[in-house]
Amino acid sequence: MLAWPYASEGRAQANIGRVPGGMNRTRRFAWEGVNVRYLLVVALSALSSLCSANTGVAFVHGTGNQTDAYNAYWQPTMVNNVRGGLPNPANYVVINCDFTQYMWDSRASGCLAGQLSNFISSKGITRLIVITHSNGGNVMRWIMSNPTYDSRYPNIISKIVRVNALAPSSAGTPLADAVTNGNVFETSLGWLLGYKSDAVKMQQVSWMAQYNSNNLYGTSGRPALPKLFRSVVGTDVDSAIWDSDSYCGGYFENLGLETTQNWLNSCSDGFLNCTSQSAAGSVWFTDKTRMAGAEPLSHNQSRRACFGLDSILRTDMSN
Amino acid sequence: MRKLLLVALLSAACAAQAGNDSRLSVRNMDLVSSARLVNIPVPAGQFERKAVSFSYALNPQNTLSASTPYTAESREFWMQTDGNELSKGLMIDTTAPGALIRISPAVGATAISPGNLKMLRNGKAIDNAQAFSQQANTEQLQKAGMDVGNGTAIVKIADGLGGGRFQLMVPKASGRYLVHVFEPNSDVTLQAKADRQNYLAGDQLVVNASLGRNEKALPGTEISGFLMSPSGKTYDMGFKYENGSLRATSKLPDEVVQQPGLWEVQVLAGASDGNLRIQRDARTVISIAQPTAKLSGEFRFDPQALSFSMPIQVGSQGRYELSGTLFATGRDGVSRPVAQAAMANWFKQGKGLLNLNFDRANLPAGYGAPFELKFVELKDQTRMTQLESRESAARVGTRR
Repeated sequence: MLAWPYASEGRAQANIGRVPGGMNRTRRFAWEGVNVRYLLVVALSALSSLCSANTGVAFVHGTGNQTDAYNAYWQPTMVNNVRGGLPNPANYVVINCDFTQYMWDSRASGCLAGQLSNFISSKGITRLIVITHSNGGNVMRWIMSNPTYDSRYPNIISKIVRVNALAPSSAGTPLADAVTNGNVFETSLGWLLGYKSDAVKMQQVSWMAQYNSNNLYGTSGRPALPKLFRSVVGTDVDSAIWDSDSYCGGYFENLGLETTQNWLNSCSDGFLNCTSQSAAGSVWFTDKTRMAGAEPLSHNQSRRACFGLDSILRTDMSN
Repeated sequence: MRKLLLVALLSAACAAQAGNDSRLSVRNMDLVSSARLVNIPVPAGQFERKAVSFSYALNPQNTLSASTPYTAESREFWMQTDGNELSKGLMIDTTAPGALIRISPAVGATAISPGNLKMLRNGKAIDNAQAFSQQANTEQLQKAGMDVGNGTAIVKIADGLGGGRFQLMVPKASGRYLVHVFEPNSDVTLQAKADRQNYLAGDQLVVNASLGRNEKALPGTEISGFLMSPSGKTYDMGFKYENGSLRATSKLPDEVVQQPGLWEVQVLAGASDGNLRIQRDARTVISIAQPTAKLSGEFRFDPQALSFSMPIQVGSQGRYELSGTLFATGRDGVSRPVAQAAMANWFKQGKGLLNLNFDRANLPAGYGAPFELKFVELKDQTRMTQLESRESAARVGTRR
């Protein structure tokens, strides 16, 4: 009854404040008393169910064909610090799938659904928190937007309590457009400039606009997703050689990010515009409002234990 | 008791709808399949065969709107060149300071390193430190997530040099290259927009394009374009001036594509600005579906279950999904979105039935008839195409 999928807080508050018209003051207080008692019972019930719930966390990587995302994509410090916030820190899974494919491909969302389903059943997970990075948010959003595509999806959706989408490429990136146009020349002229994966093609801005309008939910004007999808938005890149903060996540990577930022707006994480990161669901927070020292999170840093991001996610595991 | 009475009244109010087939409403921008159905093979891939239904509540306060076609806006262009031209100096005209130039070698061509690039103006070399404010090699770009091919380099022309004509020289270049010029600071843009997002094979595609400075059209603009299918096959599009704007009108091909993905509309524009040549390339995407299935156009509404049933006609074996949004009327008489539902199943050629079961439990307190069924879509999940859409499909029930 409490589990309003679209906005649990908003719905509960609407019920608190509802007082039938025409009641006198005495009766109104009586109603408020009922509501307070009701709320207490509900709150205790919710707390009780939270205590008895078996919460797990899944780490969903971005574009790429991962076979060891624990070490290569997230790195152990990030994964271990975050899962340490769970009542049972063993309830975690690091996804390894082929996200060079289109999001609906059996090697992408099909693989993700398989690994999430196995995790849920093997660990008896009743509350699933999903942490995605970059294009992993799109693959997760595909599952949540297309529950009829695969008979495993509804069960996964029913277990999800929220998706914490770190720098999701919800509206694509101009960088994908920049590298993909070569395909036209390859096709028409028989050149070979280098194979661009379907995932990169898919993350072109115009392609994501089409998919957001027709195949995905959660963006402006579209139906909301069945469960909370909230993003962490990286707004800038810090790559000053004298600033030690530039080295979190790898200095060399940040240096490249500053060059690619020319294709992006003034507010970006070096790979994605802030508008893309905040295009779907709701914004949980932007980097400088929560990171230690008000540091920005570059696209590489938003998947690493940089500036306290891991601590924030760890704390979130107990909610 | 009052609740029972309410349900009874509701049922009575909707009795006119229940049990009787009604026609779906059609609006101008709806995608409606009136054509013959095609029988094409199931594409390669793994597909679900079980029937799956799903519904969930929506927040009535969230506004939904019909999708509009994407407008592509470009400040970039592409050129092909070769080692011979690059070693002599490739002419590049820019319209603003700070242009970025990316050079990508084709297979067999010599790799480009930013340190090997030289910039000239009026035949005179400019020292690299003054010519380029930024340089990046392949490794740096790839690690930053820009999936460039090996041997690619990017340089940014220093702002202080302004715009205009430059010569880019690569002394030891050999083979063929693709040059990409991006002018983030330019006020010259090419805009291109298709008239819809989703089409059926054989439909008419209209693309409007405009090359302008600060949205004022540049005189003497020439535009060409082509449509590229997911298989890579291209179809020329001719642009003509119609009512003062450049427009291409084309009948879409019947090509049956096995590859997933979208069709790209590529638009190439050019104009002159004194001695300088202004170029822009833009692209947008559309979906073209083979008519593998269609709605019969009728529906049946069950007010007790808040369920809509819709017959479909299937031409090609595959998995088809029906989805839609239920709007209900609040106490204030305003219709708002309250629930989303979808159902998919595997069908062989012939007739089928799909239901949208919204579930009364998803109906917020204070909301009820009349109901509206909006944003109905029939999709081919095996071929990733949209076959039909109805922005405002049906209105059922009367106000209680």
